[in-house]
Amino acid sequence: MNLAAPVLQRYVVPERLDKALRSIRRSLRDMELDIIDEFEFSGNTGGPLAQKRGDFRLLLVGCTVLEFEAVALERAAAVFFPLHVLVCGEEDQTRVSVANPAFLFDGRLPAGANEPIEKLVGRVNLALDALLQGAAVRVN
Amino acid sequence: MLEEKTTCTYRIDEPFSRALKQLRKALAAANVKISGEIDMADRVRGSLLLSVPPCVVLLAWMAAWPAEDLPLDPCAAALTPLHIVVSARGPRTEVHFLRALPGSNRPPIFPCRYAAGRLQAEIARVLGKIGRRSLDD
Repeated sequence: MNLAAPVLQRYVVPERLDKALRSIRRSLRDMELDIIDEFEFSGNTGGPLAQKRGDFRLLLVGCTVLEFEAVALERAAAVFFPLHVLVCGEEDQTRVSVANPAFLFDGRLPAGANEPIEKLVGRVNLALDALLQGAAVRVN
Repeated sequence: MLEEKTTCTYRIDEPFSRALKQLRKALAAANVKISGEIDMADRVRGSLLLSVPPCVVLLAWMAAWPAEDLPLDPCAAALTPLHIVVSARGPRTEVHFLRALPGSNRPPIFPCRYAAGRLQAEIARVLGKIGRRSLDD
């Protein structure tokens, strides 16, 4: 495990949620990544804090080659796929967070899982970095 | 000392389709909501033209999970919904899910860890009824 890599990467896209989502989807597609599933949450459905936060989405991002590589040795590796990308609307800007799930726990990963997870997280960050050149701002 | 695994495995002595049906029913009865399913084997077959044994990822939430609080704790988003991997292994079925372990040098993820821990305990309880814990863990 590469402990030097950040557990959590955050970005700010200076666009409203809907527009930012279009750019993020395009950027992920350009990196040959799939959005396998998507969950939509409205700030209006939560308590007072949620109403202040606004709407957000959870994108489940995958890549079949990396999924196949991960499960080739041990099926348990599939617990880390797809990767979750949190996209939160905040008035005129959108915050994007990508956490490496493998880094949230101490312990031994399933055999063969580490490299594909790293590659998937890396490709998602590359896709968001590509946005950074245009509009987004990397926070850390 | 050998590091503990990050995943937990249960075996169900039923073929894949029957075990998957049984698991869905048992999780629903335990208030674990399955909000989606990803057919990994189908994805690999469709994209890489490779035939692999059946493998499905169930996306699980506790019925009362405070999802609207996720933006407060972005690390929680990495674990929510929790993935339950159901995979064929010959005439039997294996089920894998993440096991919460204490992390050092990690950002605080206490709210999500608490919620994920409750969900994991519920999944383990359900699996303990319909299968048995793998001794390889």
